[in-house]
Amino acid sequence: MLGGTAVLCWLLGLSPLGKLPKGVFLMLGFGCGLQLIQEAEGLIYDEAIAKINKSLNHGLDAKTLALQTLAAEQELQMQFGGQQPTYSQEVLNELRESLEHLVKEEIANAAPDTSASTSADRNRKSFYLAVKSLLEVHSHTYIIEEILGYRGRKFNEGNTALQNLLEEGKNNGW
Amino acid sequence: MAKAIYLSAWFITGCIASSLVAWLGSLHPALVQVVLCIYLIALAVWGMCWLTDDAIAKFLKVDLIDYYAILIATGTSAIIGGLLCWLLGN
Repeated sequence: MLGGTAVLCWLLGLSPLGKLPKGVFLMLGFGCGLQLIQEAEGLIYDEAIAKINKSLNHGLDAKTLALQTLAAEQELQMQFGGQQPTYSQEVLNELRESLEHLVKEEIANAAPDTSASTSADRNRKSFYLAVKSLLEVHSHTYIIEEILGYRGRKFNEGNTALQNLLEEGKNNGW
Repeated sequence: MAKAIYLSAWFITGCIASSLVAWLGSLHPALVQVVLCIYLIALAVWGMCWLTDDAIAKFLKVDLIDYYAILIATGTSAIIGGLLCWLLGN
């Protein structure tokens, strides 16, 4: 509004009114212009303050939101996450003990293999165990002829070999 | 927004000042020379500002670009004020 009056005074001062009125209008316009400058400075200051306030409030709102969500999350966790486990304590202990036993057994089983035996012995033992398991299903004859490969005339040799194998296994405690 | 109002306020005030000076010239024939002197001195100062732009910009603590803008705007406002006054008749 002040700017409008300044421009108006200026234009009136330029128009052919008469020397004195022109001068008067021009000086009025000049005063208006100076006033306008002062007001604009105040406006700039107000705008800067408003911007700062807005950014501060924005930061504050973000922080309050974060705090509220954190509090809500904690409450929910307390409600739903703080339950007892589904097994009772004795069951848990028993399970833990059996697991430990299994682990120790496994270690004990593995230790003799790796420490005392050679690979030939291990092969022999696994061969013996395989034959033993096959004996549960097939007859001796089948094993001698198909597995060991002693057919026909060599049947007796095969029989002896099988018996030796079985003896060896039984003696070694496989 | 407020910055625009601020700058245009300065511009309008500059125009009115130039018009005032030109009006002074229309009061009395002898004053024409005075007014011409005033304009010439202003022109000289304006030219010196262009030559010493580095020093004055550093003194006023504005960027060079802003300083040039200020100079050009001042010159334009003076020209517009004086020219309009002269064109629209004393």
